[in-house]
Amino acid sequence: MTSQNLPISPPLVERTWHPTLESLFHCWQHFFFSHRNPATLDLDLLKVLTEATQADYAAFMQYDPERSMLSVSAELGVPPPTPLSPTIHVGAGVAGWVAQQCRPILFPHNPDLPASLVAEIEQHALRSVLCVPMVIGDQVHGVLYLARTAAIQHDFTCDDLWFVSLIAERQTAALLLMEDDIERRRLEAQLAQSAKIASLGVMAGGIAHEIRNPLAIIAASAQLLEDHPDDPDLRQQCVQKIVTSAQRASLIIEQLLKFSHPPQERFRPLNIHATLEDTFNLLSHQMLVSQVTLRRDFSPDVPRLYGNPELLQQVFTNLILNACNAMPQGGQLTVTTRLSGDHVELRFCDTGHGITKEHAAKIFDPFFTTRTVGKGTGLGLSISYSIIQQHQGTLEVVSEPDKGATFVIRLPVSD
Amino acid sequence: MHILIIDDEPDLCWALERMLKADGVTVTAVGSGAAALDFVVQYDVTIAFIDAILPDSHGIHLAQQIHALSPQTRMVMMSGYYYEEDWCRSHVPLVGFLAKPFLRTDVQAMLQHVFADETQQQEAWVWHTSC
Repeated sequence: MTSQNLPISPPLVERTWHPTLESLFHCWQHFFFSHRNPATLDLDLLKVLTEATQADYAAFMQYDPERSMLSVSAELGVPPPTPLSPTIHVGAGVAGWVAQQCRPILFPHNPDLPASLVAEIEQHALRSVLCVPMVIGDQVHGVLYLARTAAIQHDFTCDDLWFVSLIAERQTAALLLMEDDIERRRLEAQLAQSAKIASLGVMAGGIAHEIRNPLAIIAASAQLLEDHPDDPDLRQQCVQKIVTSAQRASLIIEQLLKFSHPPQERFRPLNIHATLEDTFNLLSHQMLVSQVTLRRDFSPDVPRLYGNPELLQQVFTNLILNACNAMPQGGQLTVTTRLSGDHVELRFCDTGHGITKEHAAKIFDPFFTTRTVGKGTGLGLSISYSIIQQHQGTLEVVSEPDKGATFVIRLPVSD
Repeated sequence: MHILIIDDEPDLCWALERMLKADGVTVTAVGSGAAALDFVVQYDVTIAFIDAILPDSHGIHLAQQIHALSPQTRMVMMSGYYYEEDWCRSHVPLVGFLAKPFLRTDVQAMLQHVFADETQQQEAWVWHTSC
């Protein structure tokens, strides 16, 4: 595409509205706190800035401390006739100078701007440039670069500089907080994954039983084949049983692998009954070993929910394993689903030994366990609690000693 | 001679039934503890192969019940879940333990052992399997 084919934006007139710094800042605050999509955050911020400052080109350059480089992570508007380099060294060019000096540039108002930078701006055929460092303490995080091409009749003002500097500072602080939050969530996810792997240990007995049964059928059928090579009917039956049993063993392993795999991060529409059934399938042998019978009381009115099925399956697994553990002589587990107002209510009701008041107060605390060392991590319920919180829901327990326990999950119905 | 298999896996019952069948031997399979108790009351069962985990009962508990109803029945526990050490501590008069998956030779050796042991019926011990 040649430069003649580029769309030409109409020249902007000087803005007729004069927002105060306060109103602009308020506008940014609203933008930042209502912003839900981290993937478009940089670009959306640039939109706010170009609108407020009437820039016709804006770029956000991120600082990479390891390579001491700045690279464009988002840009908006009509690029200068000679485009900016997508990555530059700190110290090189306008943005590099701003990052190195930790000082803003307001061209053409800056009296002490090095001649090389003035030459660069002129080479790009820019009328006015506003470039601001994003700094917290002495730590540079990036640079905001705004420009007006020669087509615009007016230069950036000191007000524009104040506004962009203020946003740069606030945005950097907010991004740092967000990074802390991301780190916290990463650690939480890691812990949840460890607890999930630990719960596989609890399930090992049930898994052994479930896999060795088809293996026993395969081994026995293979030997029957060997003993009776001339019986075509028996032969066919044996082959069919071997194939079916191999598929069954493989399915169990597939369910286990799916369960032990780290969950997808995505929240998506889900059928809560299907997620419950997946969990029941995974734990059916565990319930058999524990002599626990399962009763479903599902309401057909329950709508689809918005959530993460892998994470919810982890919650259901924890609740079912706990119920099995609370009924050492066997018993009944009833799982109920109901639509209650704008929430879906799930109840896991067992006929086990129940929970004392003292224990009920600590039951969701991390590392609280009544089991002996090596039999439980004490993380299952605290992680379940945090997963349900991530779904904007609640998890509660109702129990009396010797009368069983009921865990109640409430999840909001999505719009 | 009557052999009773108690396992909730129909295919396993099917295979074991064919392994045990011989002249003069009747083999019956049932899928639950309750059906097994009904059966031992009605028939004279020589050997019972009991799966350790049944939908309505636990193998040990069932073995105790069978022993009470039919003390002459010799009992072999089968499991893919427990190990033979688990049965040593239980005071159930078992004559053997078959770990799943088992070989035909294990089953045959178990039968020989049961009959060789016929003379010392009161002494229960655990048979070692090869897989």
